[in-house]
Amino acid sequence: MFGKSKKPETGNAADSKKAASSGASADQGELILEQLFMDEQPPTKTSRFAALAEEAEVVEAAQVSSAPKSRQDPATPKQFSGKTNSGLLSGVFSRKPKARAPGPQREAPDVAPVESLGIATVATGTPSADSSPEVHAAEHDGPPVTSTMSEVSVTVSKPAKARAPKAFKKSTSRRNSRDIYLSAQIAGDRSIFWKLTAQGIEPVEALPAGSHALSFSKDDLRFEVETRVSYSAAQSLALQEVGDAVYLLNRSKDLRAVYATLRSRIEGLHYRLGPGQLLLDRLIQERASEAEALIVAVELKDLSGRDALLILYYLSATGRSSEPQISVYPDNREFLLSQFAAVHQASRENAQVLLVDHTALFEASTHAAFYPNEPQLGGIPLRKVWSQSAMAGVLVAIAALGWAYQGFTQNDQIRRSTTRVQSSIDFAQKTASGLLSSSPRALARALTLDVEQILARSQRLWVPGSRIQLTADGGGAEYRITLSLPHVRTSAVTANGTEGNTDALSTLLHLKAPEGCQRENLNFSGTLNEAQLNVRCEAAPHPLDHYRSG
Amino acid sequence: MAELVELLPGNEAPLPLAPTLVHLIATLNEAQLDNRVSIAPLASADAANGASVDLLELAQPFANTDLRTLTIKVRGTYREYAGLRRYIELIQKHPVALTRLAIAGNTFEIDIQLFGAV
Repeated sequence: MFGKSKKPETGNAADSKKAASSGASADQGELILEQLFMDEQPPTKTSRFAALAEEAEVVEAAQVSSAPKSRQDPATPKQFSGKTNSGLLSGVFSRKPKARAPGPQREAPDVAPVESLGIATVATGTPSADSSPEVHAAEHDGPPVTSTMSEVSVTVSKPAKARAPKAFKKSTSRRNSRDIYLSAQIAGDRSIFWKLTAQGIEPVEALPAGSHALSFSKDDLRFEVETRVSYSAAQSLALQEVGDAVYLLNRSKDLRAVYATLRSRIEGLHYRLGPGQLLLDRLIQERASEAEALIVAVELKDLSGRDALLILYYLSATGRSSEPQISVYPDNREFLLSQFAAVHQASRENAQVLLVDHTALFEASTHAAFYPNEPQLGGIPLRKVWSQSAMAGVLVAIAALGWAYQGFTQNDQIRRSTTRVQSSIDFAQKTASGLLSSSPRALARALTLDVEQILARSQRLWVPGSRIQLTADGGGAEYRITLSLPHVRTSAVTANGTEGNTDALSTLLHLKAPEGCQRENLNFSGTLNEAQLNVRCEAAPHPLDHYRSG
Repeated sequence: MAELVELLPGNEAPLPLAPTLVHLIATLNEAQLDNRVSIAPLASADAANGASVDLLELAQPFANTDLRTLTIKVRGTYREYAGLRRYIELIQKHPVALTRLAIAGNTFEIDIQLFGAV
């Protein structure tokens, strides 16, 4: 997941040696350095932190007087790098411990005693006047911690342009107007609350109703995943690990992690809780994506500039996160850090430290996400599912109504159009009926056959010696001209009338049909004593034909 | 509709069917001798038999109007063609429609359609 950072030895080693001989216990100082950097091994991979270290300017070397857990080569000082100009610091032990204001000792009760873990998680100092340490920190009743960092190797990194970590965008315009609070679980189920501002954190007695808080607690569960998983798969994973109902945030898509907490923890709260580690994962992804094992130290100052809260996470090379170690008003950050690193030494190979201050956390809080506080269906709040379903139903109903209205409108238009056509037809029929009723004589004249034309055509078609049979009605007239022929014998032809009928027959054969008429071929009877010609004259269509009888 | 308007002025006085029928029958009968035609007994096209019926039943409604129509079939013979033509011209002087004419040899058939109010 993260690249190893093997820092090459530089001239700082001499400074470290020098510092080591300046009074502090070499064993103690070397222990811390050893735990944080595996300088004894040759560099195998250059991480961005190593690159930052190369660009860094060594200010001073230091030795730490904490009790060592193991020791390797005391003669090999280690070099640290850090970036102090962006609010996000990488590296460790980069500064001398600040002078603390006098005040009561504070402790983080959830941290194991020094005797058992070898980690000092005691914060000493007097809180400033505007802070309320009595509310947020428990009294330290353990033995006084004497391990301090006497000489600290401080490496102030130059601004690394090419290798500079990608800074968060200034998202004040996108930032919600809501305030962000911090909820840190310090002892058992006891939590203390802080208000996160750009200037620092401010202790508050209780969270306002409806507020949003970032939680740093062992009850915030984090499951790393290899790939993007569905909400149901994430829920199954969390259920399998926890065995109880949880609310979860599935950020497997971008952070490859699923955040969950017990429902019983969320239900009943009057404020929203979100996993603070989600923001830290974002910062790691942005700033230290190449690191493998990593210690994330969230060092938050109060408004007076005093270190008020130190939250430590250990992130293994496999991406598994430890429970947070929370120290309130830490007196010696370096010591706490070294002890925390020592605790996780067995599970790490080469840990680097990512320091996050209040400015970075405040800017990153624009990306905060919060646990759902209501039943969900596939990652969507059931309330939204219902409301959106209802909205979809309303939209469907509106669409159906519109469709029905459109259909009704079209149907109405068709009905009105039909009515108009029917009215037109009725009007036409009424008009026609009125005309017919009031014009009986004209109607009779219009329906009468053109007898003159019919008889005139008959006269034209008459051939002397023939007889004409005609039939005329509204469809036309049909004429049949029949010409009697003399009795024909094959052996002789009678003399009477033979010549005349021959002329009539020739005339009939070549008779032209009147205009608008068609003649057929000349027909003969079976005994050849009659010739017959049919002529058909079609009548032109008449608008009153259908009123004519017959 | 325009053709109908051209053919029918629509401003004629009502035509009673019964007087028209009576005058027509009179003409058909009285003009036989002068025009040397002879007609068979007249018959209505819609009459089933020779039984006496009311003119209202004999005449049919005409095209959703208050008019009624009646068709008379005239069958007869003629001696000369000219006589037949004069006979037909006399018929055409009545407000009736000559809707069918058939002439075969010296016989003729004429369908006469009458219109009028009953």
